[in-house]
Amino acid sequence: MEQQLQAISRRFRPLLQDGTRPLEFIGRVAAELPALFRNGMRQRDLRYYLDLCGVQALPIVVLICLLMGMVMAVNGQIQFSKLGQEIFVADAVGLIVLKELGPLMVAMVMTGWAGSAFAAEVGTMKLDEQISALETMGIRPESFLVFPKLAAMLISMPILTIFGDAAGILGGMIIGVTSMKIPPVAYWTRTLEALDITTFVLGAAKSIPFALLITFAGCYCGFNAANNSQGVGRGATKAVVCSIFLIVVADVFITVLYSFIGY
Amino acid sequence: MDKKRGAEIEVKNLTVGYSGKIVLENLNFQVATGEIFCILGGSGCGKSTLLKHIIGLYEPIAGDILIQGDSIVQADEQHRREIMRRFGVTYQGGALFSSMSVAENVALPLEEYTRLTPKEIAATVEEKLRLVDLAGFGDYMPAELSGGMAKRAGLARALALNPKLLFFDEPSAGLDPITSAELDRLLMRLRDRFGATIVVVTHELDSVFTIADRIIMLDKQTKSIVANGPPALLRDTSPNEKVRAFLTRDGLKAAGTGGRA
Repeated sequence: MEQQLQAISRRFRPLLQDGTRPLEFIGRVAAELPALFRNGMRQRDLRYYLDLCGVQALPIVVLICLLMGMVMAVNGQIQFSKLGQEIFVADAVGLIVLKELGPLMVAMVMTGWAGSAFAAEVGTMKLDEQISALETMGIRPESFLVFPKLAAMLISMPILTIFGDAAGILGGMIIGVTSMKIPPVAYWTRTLEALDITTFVLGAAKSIPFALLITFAGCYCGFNAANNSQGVGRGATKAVVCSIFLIVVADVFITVLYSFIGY
Repeated sequence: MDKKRGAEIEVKNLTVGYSGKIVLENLNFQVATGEIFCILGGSGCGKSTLLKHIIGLYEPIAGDILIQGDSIVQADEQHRREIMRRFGVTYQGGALFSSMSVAENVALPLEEYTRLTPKEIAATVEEKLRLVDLAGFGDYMPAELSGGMAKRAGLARALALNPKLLFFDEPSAGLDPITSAELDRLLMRLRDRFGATIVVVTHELDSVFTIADRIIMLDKQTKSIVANGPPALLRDTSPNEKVRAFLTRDGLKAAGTGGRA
């Protein structure tokens, strides 16, 4: 009986650890928060990641959101033209972009752009003994490496989402004006009528939990990558897949929460 | 507070390994203050594993390791980090932070643990780089350095806080004989000038006979220390044939004859 129990424990312990290790990782980072507030952050690192996650990611975020806005408008046109109500494409595009597609598309782009880069960077540092070097200097690698990335993501993701929202609406407007022959002023007025500031703020606010998830998944997968080049590659892949999954799950929760307050 | 004098490192009944598999068993040795101590052994015998346990990166299966009288095994996280700051480690490839220049790498421990002004930090960095013959290379990025230079830059970073205890993981690996000999001279200079205690993991015999005051030799089969003493003495008088063969580079020949017999 005891042997059977041990066998069961051996089989399930790794599964349990898969669940507890990420929590342990988050705990280790969080435990360093007081030290962060006391000593501040390395400004050079923060600037580097702000450039990587903000400035450099902006063009691709804007382009993808613009194209998604156009795709939605084309699809909307097909449906609304059956009713002769093409103008409602402005409502549909505006609402979907602000509530869902803007924050979600930005999160997806950033998962590929930053999450995988974080995992590969940390994984390579581990492989190259840079993580060990930090540890033997008495520096906690988790906080040293995670905080600048996290701060940069928390700052840049909401801003990117605002740009993404604007690009998505612009994409819809381009189709509205060129293909549906709606006057730009009419499309714009209709969009403004359909949207309000709360919708915009609640949508953009989603980018904060998304930024947390992408950064933690990326760094965690880097720290836990196997010590070889294949391990680093797998770590980056895992970071992307985990981030996407977690973002979608978080989005479901947030949407349910928002529905309670009528949004 | 009266710490045991004379022994910088004390390893007691140490058993180390990975995921339940024992690599080395029941090790006991001491490293005296001011000596250059080499950990020797064939590939895969656990030299680097032992080093990583001594510097507190891994937790041993059993036993204790005292660094300047304080147990790095039993210390809580805070205390362990405090013990770690007392020594410097130079890793195989230098382990320089690739996103920082050489000077920024050396400056990091100073920025983290001292209240020096940026000017004083820059002066200290320059001094450490001069010590390892890298003066003027502060603005280089790690990727622009050769293997030997990266190791020396790693050493400069390890020296930043003026530790009295230094660890080297395979300092000669991948270096040409001349660069390797220069590094050996540098280690001896550090010992003579600053009274540093130096622990080196290596299998380079030339280097061992030049620098080591004392060695221990590890054996994969017995998972233990098979020799402990000054290298020349062990080469000439060790009762263990394996040790003599290793230290006279006779290993291959001995194995060959053994195989035919």
